[in-house]
Amino acid sequence: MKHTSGNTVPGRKKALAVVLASLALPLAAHANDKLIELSKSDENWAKPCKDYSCSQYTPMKDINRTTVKDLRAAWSFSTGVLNGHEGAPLVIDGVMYIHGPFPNNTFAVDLDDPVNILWEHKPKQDPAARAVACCDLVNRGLAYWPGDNQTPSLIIKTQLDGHLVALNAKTGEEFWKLEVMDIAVGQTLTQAPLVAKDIVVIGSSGAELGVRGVVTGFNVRTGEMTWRAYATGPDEDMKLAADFNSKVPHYGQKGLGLATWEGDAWKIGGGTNWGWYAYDPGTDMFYYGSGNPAPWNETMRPGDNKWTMTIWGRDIDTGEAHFGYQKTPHDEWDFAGVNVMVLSEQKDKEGKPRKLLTHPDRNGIVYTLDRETGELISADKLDDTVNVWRRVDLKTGIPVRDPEYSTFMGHRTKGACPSAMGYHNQGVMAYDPTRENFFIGINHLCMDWEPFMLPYRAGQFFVGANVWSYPGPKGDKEKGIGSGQVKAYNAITGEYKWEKMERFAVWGGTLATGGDLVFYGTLDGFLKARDSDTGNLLWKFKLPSGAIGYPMSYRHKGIQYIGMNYGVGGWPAVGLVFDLNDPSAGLGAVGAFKELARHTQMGGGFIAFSLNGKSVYTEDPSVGEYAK
Amino acid sequence: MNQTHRQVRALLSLAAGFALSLQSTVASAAEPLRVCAANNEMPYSNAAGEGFENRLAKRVAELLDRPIEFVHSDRPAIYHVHEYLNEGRCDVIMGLDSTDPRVLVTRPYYRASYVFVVRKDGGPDIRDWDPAAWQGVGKVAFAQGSPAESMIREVGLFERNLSYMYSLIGFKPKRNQYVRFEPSRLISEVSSGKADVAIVWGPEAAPYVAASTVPLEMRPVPDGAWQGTPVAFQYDQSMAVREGNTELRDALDQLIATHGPALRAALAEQGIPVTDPEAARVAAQQ
Repeated sequence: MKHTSGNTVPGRKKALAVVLASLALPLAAHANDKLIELSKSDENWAKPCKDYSCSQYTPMKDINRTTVKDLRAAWSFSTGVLNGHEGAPLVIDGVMYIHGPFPNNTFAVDLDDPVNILWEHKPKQDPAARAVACCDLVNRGLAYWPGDNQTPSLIIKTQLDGHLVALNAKTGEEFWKLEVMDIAVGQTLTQAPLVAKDIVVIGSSGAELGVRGVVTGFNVRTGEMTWRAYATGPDEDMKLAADFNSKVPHYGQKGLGLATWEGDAWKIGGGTNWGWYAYDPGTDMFYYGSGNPAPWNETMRPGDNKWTMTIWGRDIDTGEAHFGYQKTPHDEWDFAGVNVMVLSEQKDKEGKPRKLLTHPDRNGIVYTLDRETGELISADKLDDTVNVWRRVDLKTGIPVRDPEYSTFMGHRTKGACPSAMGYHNQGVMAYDPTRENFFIGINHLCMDWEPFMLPYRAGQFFVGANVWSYPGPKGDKEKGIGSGQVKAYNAITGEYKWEKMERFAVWGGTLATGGDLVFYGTLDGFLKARDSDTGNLLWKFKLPSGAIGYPMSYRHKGIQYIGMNYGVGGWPAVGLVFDLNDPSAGLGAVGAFKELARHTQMGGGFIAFSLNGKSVYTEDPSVGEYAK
Repeated sequence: MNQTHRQVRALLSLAAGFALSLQSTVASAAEPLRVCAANNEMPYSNAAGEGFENRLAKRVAELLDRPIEFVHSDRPAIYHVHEYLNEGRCDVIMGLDSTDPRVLVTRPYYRASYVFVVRKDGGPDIRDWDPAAWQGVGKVAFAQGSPAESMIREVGLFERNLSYMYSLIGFKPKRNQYVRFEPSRLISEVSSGKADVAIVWGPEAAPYVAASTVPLEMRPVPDGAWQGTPVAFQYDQSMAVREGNTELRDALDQLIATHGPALRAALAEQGIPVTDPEAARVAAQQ
């Protein structure tokens, strides 16, 4: 097994880059096609959430409604780390690539004999990164680039201390390494990179600290910056294409990255984008959401604060934005708009086939847009208990606020739904094309929010807020449970086919399968399988620790596996992970999830499940034996 | 002396004693003066009673002829009016703005000013709010939410100083927790050279400036204006009691009237730069 941790950005790679640049176009197309081909195979899980559409869908049907009762654990791997395990591993060509939270170790495991770790990468990181991480030390996963004649296949990863690293996928050696985020200003990196064509797309963090949101494209072979676009400021900084919002001019076009702010506030306006990115090779655009404006105290930034809280459609090669739709103008609740983007092709209400983008936002609304034009097609409440909005006007795209749930200085707003944690957060969302249904894991959490100004001495004021989060009306606020839901949703009709309650927020997200099943992990520690048509619970397994990652599926040597990271943590579990008892800690997450420790403790690893627990070892236990 | 004389003297001393005890039953001689004291608010107060307001409180209690009882709290001082004074857990806060509307304040007993703090050797020549002078300045250490913030915005330095400002509180979010810009930190940023200027309330700055091994200089900050609104940098400070507690307020007022200069001298002895609020008022009227 190879072990690497070094800093290698050899000078000769730069010379190579010059040669490669001239060959860029055909090579890029080749790499792109190869990743799409790899993703089509059931044997691979070549990128986070399965494919560029982030569909979280596998057509495999070995494990189905009838057979799932025989689903058993097949093999497992502990990462050796506690703290929350978000995301899921990758599988390419018989090798599984497993990542983890800080210190962000990466392992390549041989699926023919998973007792063999082919290589590991254990980076040495600045421990100061831990202190500035807001919400546990999580990481949402790896990306893979298939390589070409000149450059080996690469595993691309982010590190908490702000580095973006490319590893040789065969050897685990560092191929290049960049500092992308600056922990000295309170930024960290937790996202799963998007790799499309020959570009690595990385967002930014630290909105709360007034960091101006920025998305950057790096050349996958060298790490050189290709383009960079900001969330606020002059049009050139935001890289608005000449046709920006030309199909949807009523959403706003030029100059708004300045005009919707007072003075220089846009310079520290936030709008960071550390969440999920989808890509459409057809439109050649990538899609993502920008986050909350800064500062959190809305009285300090009058205006719509564009283009924070926006669904963006940008060109992958140039970074230029063809459309932007702002979901939450002038945010008052910290509804960071960075959640998952899922692409689908469906017929709209008029029967016309459309290319769609569906996005469940923190603000409690699930949006579906035409991903070619940016036009809003539907905007439905994730649950009828959403009250900060009355509705979204589909013609103008503007959400209609309910003033009772707005926030005012010196006033305690009670029972605002969703809470700042959002009815949806960092989890993924499966799309079943055979049913045209999205399966959504929901955080049924509401909040009281009280901003205040306290005088101190000598003309000083402390501007703060008290935030209390708790299960919403469909749960049990007093007992602190019933804060989760899972649902089947149709983006065209707006209907929820079924809805099931869970003890805690369904934080990690769902997988849908051709076997008519929906899989997801729960915070209290189950991997569950429900019937896609009815939501009936058909199977569950008690994991060693709660789940904040999402299920994946792959085939190896003829056997279908469902794979799941376990290891509770992330924002909902900061109380458990950091042993915090003050209910107000973690922006109220400690109080909201006070019951979690009665059901789970920390853990860290991966488990694969198959029918009857079949694995490479069950037919012949001597596989991989030292002495046969 | 004859018996009548003795009787008169006895009567007089009885009367005096009675008057004294009358005074004391109103605020009983046995009854301690309960002073709100934060455990972590240096240089004003700490659990060991080493802050200058702790010492001043002892002096005040002596002058009132009452025993002192420090009501210690881990809760930051900013919560004392609401959670301690108004809840009847303590009776006096040693220092608040004389304009604080939430409490019954005494007459001001000292006046002080914000100061620019710079290194004696090589520090920038900053003495006022001339924007041109500020453009060459590197990092500025100040407390968010203080009058300094308004003027830093006015001279155009706020955005580029923001990240540095947050680093002074360890990037801690200000929701569900109180975060204080520690004056010791603001001063040490200047002595270490990380910041060119600190803008700090004088009484908070002085002990750390005096203790700094790197020679530092304090210069008074003149008043300014932010977007046309005046921004003051000198403030009168009073002691404060609960609304309605006129007896204690009056007793303290009387104490300040008689012993104001002594109190200010006691502060000056500890290196806290203060002036006579009365003098400022008189000067303002001329």
